[in-house]
Amino acid sequence: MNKKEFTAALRKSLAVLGEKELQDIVNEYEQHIDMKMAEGLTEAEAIEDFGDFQELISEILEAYQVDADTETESPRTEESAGEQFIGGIRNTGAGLIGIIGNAAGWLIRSAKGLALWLWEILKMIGAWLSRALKWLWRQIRRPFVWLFARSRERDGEGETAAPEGPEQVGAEEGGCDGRPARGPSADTAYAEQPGETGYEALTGEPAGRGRSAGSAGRPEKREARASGAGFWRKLTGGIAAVVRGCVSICLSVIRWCWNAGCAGASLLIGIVGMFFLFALGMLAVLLLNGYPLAGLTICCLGAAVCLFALAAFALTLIWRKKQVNPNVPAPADSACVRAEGRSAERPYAPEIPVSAGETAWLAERSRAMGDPVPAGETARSADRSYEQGGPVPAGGTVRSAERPYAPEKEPRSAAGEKEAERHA
Amino acid sequence: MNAQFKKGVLELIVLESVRQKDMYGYELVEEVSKVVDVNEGTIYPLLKRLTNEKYFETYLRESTEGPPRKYYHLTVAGILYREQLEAEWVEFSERVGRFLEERKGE
Repeated sequence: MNKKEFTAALRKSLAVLGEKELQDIVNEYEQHIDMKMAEGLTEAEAIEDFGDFQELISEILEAYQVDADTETESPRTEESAGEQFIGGIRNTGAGLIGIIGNAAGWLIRSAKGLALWLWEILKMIGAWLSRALKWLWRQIRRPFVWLFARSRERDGEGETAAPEGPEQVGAEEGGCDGRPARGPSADTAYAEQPGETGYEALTGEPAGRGRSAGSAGRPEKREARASGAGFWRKLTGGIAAVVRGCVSICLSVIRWCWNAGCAGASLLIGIVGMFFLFALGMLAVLLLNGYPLAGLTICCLGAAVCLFALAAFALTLIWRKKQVNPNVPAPADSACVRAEGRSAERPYAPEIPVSAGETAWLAERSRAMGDPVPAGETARSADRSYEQGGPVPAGGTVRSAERPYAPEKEPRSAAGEKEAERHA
Repeated sequence: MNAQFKKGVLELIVLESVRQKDMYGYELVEEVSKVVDVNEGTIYPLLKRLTNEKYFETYLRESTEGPPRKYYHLTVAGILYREQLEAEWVEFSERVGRFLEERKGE
């Protein structure tokens, strides 16, 4: 067998392969024969070195994963075999793409449903946690709120109400911002029974005859009471400030630690994700070059996506501080509003405050001028009248700060005028 | 040498030969023939199969002695496959050798 016959037999036997592949194989064997001949062998000797021709054909077809027996027994034309091969690949590919598409669609739908379900559950858990935390916060805050309220009451009692008596608190006690309180004061709001002042309700001591509110007007008692109230006020204020500071510092430290942990974890996960992304790129290039790395590439892709998602999730866990908008009014349950004893919904409308000192002075002047004690006079004047042996007017101890004093218009004597000037 | 032995070890010899340096077909056949007496015709189908399985990649290089030659280069997958074959071969030969030694002792 010479070289031409060998190549012709080779082409005939390997007709199932594509033209390009066949030409490649023929070229290889021709080159081999040429080199053997260059070494001094003849064509026949060079071809004999390939061994048995049928075995050679079988091995070549095996290398292309073609069944040598069936293909050699029923050789087909090159084009039809190639077309069938390509068609088979196309059909298989289309089938695979269809299956993959369906599976992907189902997976996406399932993932979407699962994500929505998880989101709902998370929202429920979040709402429940929020409620629980709010309740816990209220429980924690309750003693402090009571403490602050008590301190504020003492402030009002010691600074403004003490000289004139607790009944003046309603008129004198202002809001947290120094504005006068509107409506019934915190003290009067505590009064549960008619005839009992807010002071009585709060302290449990009678404001009437035994220890009248007006009796606090005495200089020595006033000073003693003012100093005691100041001490307690300072003490409670200091404790409250310390507790508030400690809580604030603890919260800040916890917040910073938490945020640092979240940011650090997110950064680390992100770095690992970047590494996987880099590996994914490299593997994709190798995959395109024909290396069997599809599984590893998909794994890297999944890992990268998961890690980036995890990093983003860690970022969402960062504890942000609430921004306070100055244009938004204070919430309804603010301690300041509650201490004022008025509703937060009720807008603030400044009124002309009823001055307790003025009322007291007017009552005093009225008495000096021999006027009858009018209904609605202050408790102080009523008490003073009681101490001096005078009659206690009806409503002397229960007086609303909102009930203004209306002196009777009667001519005043010269002595009364003098007394008024002296008092002034 | 037994043909079955040769057939089993031929892949490893070819892979190892190409790992050292890129070779063309005839050069590779000569290299393998130094180790085992192999039918030259069987090397080409083997090279083709290994190329189809992405263990080799080929490129053409001009030659002064004739037409351009097709050179074979070992890929990363080929290197991994070679290492796997080597490990298997070492284990296999050790077991067989141990077995034979034990039999000799008896």
